[in-house]
Amino acid sequence: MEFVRSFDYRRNWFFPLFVVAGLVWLLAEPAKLDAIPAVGDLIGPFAGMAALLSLVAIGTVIAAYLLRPVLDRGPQAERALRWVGYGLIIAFFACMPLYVEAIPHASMLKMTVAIQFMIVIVGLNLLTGFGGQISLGQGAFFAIGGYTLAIGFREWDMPWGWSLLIAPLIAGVLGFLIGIPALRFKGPYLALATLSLAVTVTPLAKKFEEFTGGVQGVAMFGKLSVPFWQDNLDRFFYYMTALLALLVFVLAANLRRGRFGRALIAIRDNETAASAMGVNVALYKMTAFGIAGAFAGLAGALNGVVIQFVSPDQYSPLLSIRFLVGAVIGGVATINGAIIGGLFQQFVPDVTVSINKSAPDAIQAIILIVVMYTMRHGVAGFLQETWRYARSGLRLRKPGAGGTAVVETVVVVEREEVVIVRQDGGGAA
Amino acid sequence: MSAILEARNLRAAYGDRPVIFGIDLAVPERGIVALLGANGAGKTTTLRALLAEVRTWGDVRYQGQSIAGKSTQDLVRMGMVMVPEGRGTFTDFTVEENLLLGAYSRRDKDGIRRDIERMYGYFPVLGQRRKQRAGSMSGGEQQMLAIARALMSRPKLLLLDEPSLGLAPLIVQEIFGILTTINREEGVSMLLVEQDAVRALKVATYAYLLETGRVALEGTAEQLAASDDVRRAYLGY
Amino acid sequence: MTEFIQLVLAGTANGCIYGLLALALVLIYRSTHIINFGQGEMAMFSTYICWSFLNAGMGYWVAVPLTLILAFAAGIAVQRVLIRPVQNAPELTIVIVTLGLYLFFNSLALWIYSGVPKPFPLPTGIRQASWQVGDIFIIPYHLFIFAVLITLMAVLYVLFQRTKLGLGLRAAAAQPASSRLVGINVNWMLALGWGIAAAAGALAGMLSAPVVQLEPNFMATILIFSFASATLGGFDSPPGAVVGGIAIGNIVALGGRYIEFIGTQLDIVLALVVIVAVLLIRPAGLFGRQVVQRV
Repeated sequence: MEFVRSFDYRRNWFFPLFVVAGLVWLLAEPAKLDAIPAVGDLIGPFAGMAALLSLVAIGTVIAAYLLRPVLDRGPQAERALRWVGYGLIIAFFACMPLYVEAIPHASMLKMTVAIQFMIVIVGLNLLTGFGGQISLGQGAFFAIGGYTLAIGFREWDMPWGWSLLIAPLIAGVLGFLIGIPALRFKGPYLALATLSLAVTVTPLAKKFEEFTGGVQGVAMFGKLSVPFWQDNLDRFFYYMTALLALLVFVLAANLRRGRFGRALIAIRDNETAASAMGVNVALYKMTAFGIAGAFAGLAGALNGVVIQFVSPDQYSPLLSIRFLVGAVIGGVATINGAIIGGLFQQFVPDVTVSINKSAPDAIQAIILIVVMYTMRHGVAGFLQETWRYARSGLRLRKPGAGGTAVVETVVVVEREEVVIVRQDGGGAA
Repeated sequence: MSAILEARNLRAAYGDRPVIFGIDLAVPERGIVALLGANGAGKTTTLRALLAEVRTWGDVRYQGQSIAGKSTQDLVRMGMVMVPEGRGTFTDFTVEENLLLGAYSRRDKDGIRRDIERMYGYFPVLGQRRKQRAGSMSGGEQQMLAIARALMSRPKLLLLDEPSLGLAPLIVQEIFGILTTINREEGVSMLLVEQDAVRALKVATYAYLLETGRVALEGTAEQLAASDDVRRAYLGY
Repeated sequence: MTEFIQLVLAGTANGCIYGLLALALVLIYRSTHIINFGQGEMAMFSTYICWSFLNAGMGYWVAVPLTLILAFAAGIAVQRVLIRPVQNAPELTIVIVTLGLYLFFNSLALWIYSGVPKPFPLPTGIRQASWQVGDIFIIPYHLFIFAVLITLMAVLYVLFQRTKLGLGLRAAAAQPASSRLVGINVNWMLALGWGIAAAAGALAGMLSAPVVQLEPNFMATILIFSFASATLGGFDSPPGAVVGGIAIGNIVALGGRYIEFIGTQLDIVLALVVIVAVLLIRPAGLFGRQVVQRV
């Protein structure tokens, strides 16, 4: 079964047009990017995002063109270049305090939350993108993280640092266990079962008032001490979150590349065949749930630390849906897509909420559907594809190793048959 | 004899992958034509292309007029009906409902009633099981049901895809017997895809041999049955 | 005992509404194997449309049928425009698109009608006061809901089992490839299925709006209960959906009263328990057909 289909320029010829339209709009009046909320309608954000996407796509093409001499030296150069790319991304986040003020709508706190989103989304990418298990319940694990912090703080005066260790552990074990019933659910049923998990969080948290503080939640303002930068908590929490996120990304990338990742993809693409090859399907699926749960738990605890407040209404089912939406828009079967997904989930609602309080969700819904029609590997997949097209000189040739390989096998099989027929015929002659 | 169906340079593809590379074929009015070939030669795809079920190019004329751009259900209404490989039984429906579904494109209630009784005449076993769930019947019975269902739409041209597949020889003989009767009595033309070349060449008047999406050989049934190539490759003697 | 009967009456009335929305879910799942996460929000939006008609001075018995027709048309439009292009896409894509529907209608309602709850009237001619039979109070509106459900079931039974269109709808759902070969326009049949489902969902919304207040999230909880109903009854069985709905209505009403821990806050947990238990013990539900998966 083909789980996610990648972007195909030929079938989606209109999409580059859409991108170009966005670019034209941007060039016509560059100031508009700043003035998006002031435009006061829905066209602004869409055009803005299209413009942004087109800029990045064009940048990708230009980069591929300029770097041609280096790239043509072979795969080693390409690998080195990829590391340079990663270095640039890390440097961008590392130097954040220098220019965060200059980025519209951004602040250290918002960036921190965006990175927390990324941590959840990376887990979801492993689970859903590579593992093929749809989860609408990551918000529940996020909540477990938050409440580990809050209950520890309230009941035992536990230092918040501990929750960063304990929360992923609890959420991970719970995720692993929830993987057991999930083994029996397929596709939409799994979405349904995990969604009901997300739905129960808020009422449960309200019910167990004696631990969770009920509707009022647990406030920790000013009561969380940090070892240094006391005068600049935002900066401290930002770097702490960013470092942990780096760790999570490295871990996820290694999992993806190694035995675990291969097994997951094998299960996703053909469970029966994978199991016939000796892959322990149950164990891998449960582990994927566990890892995704642990990441979400970690992010949830971090979020509680940064916001310094935990209450049931933060963990509505919509949160779980937002995680999945972020994953899908970034690119569900990619690791890097989580960066885009996290930034998207933090900033698009933030920018568009001034249009109308319900504009963020409306815009997300529309973007979601458009992305599903045009680029099923999300923005990251789209950029990868763009890169490949640029590398192959914009020839209209279908890239992607998988698809081509399959076609070739079929052709070979047919040729074999032809050969057999001809041999028989030849024998008669 | 004029042709009910005539295809020139018929090509077809699954997605981007071409499977048929320009086939010319004709089915005469009231005739039976056989389409032979090995697995993967493109026989089924040819039928599906004629019924617009796959991406198709080329000039296809049915009863003298071009059918380019017509959808499958248009073609069914025009009397071109397929008996699919694997029979396509509506398994959860009764035998009678299957026959009613076959007549879906018709509106004459009385005629449909009469035709159902007529089918029970051709295939008495179906008459005995009219209220039975079709999926619970044997393969041979389901094949008969598939043919009866196709006939319910009063077709002028039947496209039969491997009617003998997986059936016992005696049943196959019975089915081919009924097919020739229907061809003779009702004047239904047939395009027959078959693995069992011996049997197909017995009932057909003309035959095409496909090889990897092209016509490798064609001729009257006698000519093909006598051809050394066909005998060695497909007839096994 | 009196209290028990009272709870069963109320639970059954609520259950009818869950059953109606579950019916909508099942009609779509049966034909396209899609669980429409947007079903509840489509119903919610239809209910707002009806409220707008009523607010503009239209009578109840005009506004409701008009809304049903609009919902039917909207269901068809959604299938033709949004679902059909991804019909054969991987299931993640389809789940995401229906989640998109959920987000879209939810935020649109919030945008247009704001979050302030709106009163929704009882049907004209249905009296507010209840009848007393012995110790038991019977609420006329509950009977009305029950009657509507029975009528709808009868209409759908005749449509599906006794008409040619119904035969085509069932065939297109069960075996699309074969249906095409007998000349059924399968795409239209699937779209009609979405239309019928959207209308059934809208009916559920308009019936429940007088009981709970009309606000943009009012169908979200009902949707979860309907998921539980459809799971319990079997996702491919329309009668199962209705029976499952009534069962869930009663489980929630009785469980909330007699299980100390559940109370009124955790009734949704009961739905979760039912969903997971059914999927674990008998995934096809009570009335669904067990499907043997071929490899």
